[in-house]
Amino acid sequence: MKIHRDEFDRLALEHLDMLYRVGRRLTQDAARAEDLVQETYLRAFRARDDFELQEWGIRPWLVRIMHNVHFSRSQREKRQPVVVDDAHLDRVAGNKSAAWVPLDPTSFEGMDQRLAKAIEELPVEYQTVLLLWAIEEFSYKEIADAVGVPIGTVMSRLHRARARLCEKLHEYARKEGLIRE
Amino acid sequence: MNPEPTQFDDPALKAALRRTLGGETAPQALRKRIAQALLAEHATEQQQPPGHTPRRWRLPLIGLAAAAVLLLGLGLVYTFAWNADRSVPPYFAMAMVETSRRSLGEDRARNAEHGIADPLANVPATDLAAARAKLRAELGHPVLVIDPGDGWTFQGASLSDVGGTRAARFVFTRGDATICVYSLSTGALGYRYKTKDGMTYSQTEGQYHISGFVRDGAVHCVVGSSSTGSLPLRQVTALRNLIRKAAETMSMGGSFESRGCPAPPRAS
Repeated sequence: MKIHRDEFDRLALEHLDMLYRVGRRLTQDAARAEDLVQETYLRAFRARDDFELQEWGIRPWLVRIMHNVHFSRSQREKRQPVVVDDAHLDRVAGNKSAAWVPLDPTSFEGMDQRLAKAIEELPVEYQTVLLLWAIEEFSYKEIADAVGVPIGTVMSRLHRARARLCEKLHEYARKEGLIRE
Repeated sequence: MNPEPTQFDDPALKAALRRTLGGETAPQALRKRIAQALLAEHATEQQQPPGHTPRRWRLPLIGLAAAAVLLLGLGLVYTFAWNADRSVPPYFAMAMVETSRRSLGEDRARNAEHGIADPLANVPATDLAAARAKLRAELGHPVLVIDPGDGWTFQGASLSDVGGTRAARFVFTRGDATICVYSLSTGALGYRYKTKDGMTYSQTEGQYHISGFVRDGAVHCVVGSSSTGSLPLRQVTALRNLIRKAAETMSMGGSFESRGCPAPPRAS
């Protein structure tokens, strides 16, 4: 079913937050994520005649466009020299201290920060699948369609992402005495 | 259709992830920027004329047009490259030049003075057609030569040696200009030099202009020179083209001997 232009805009803009979150995971950078989201919308708008509103809606289609734009850009950037800013160099130089998140033992805030850190350490592909599954409530089929991989790959990525998170958080919880072995 | 696999669920992990990452929202500035960008896209679309081809059709058309232009370009390059005159190998050119030099009037006069036999005397100079038939029988490959007319005088023909290959040679003179017309096996060009019917050559070696073509396993060359520069390469090439055309006429059932022979252009 084809949709009207205004309807398309409305539907697409409803998912801006979701696209921004996926963009953040893919780029690991707020400014680049914003550029990616904007480019995704422009591409989607120009290609809207090709869009068919199917049972699972517009979300996987938008994520797929974002995914393609991001990987095309990454390929292009790999072929060009990269300018590294001072902040990034500082982060690299002081990697160990930056990796450590101070804990507040009176709450689980520390655990959430630790979780955020553990997620960031996962490969981008795992982060994306995890985010789409846990926060955006995509089905396996939707995730597979969005990131262009078979459903089996989605399942294995989800499984591995979860296993790695458990491993990292378990180690942390043991160190902090939150669990006993 | 395969049913979708059962969804794995982990409410605790989901809840933790939502707490951690779910709060991220797009900045207002981004929201505004995208809304403006989409409005600008709408405006651009509306400005396009009614008969405007939709974008999705335009791209394949551009691709097809580009492919057609590329194919046409390649075809033209191939055609020009094929039709362009090549150069014969230097050793072959020098051998023809050396044999031709011996045909010049001065050399012939010097030979006579020193009692050296005239190399052109081995085939009767009185009858071009008879000389061609005799040499063809001797060599076993086509011998292509015509009377150039236009003031050229047939001086004689001989079975000559061009770089170790036997060749038919016909000599014509006009004023200070001399042309030698050779027919010899393409083997004379060397085994590394690939030849094909229809290939043409044009080049200048010192004072000698060389212009030839390949046909029926033989290479046919006109080598011309003049002491005052009255015979340019253009005229030598024109003469080569006349011989080539005559050979084509002959292959279509015409007679090589009986064909009319238009005069090559004179140097201005």
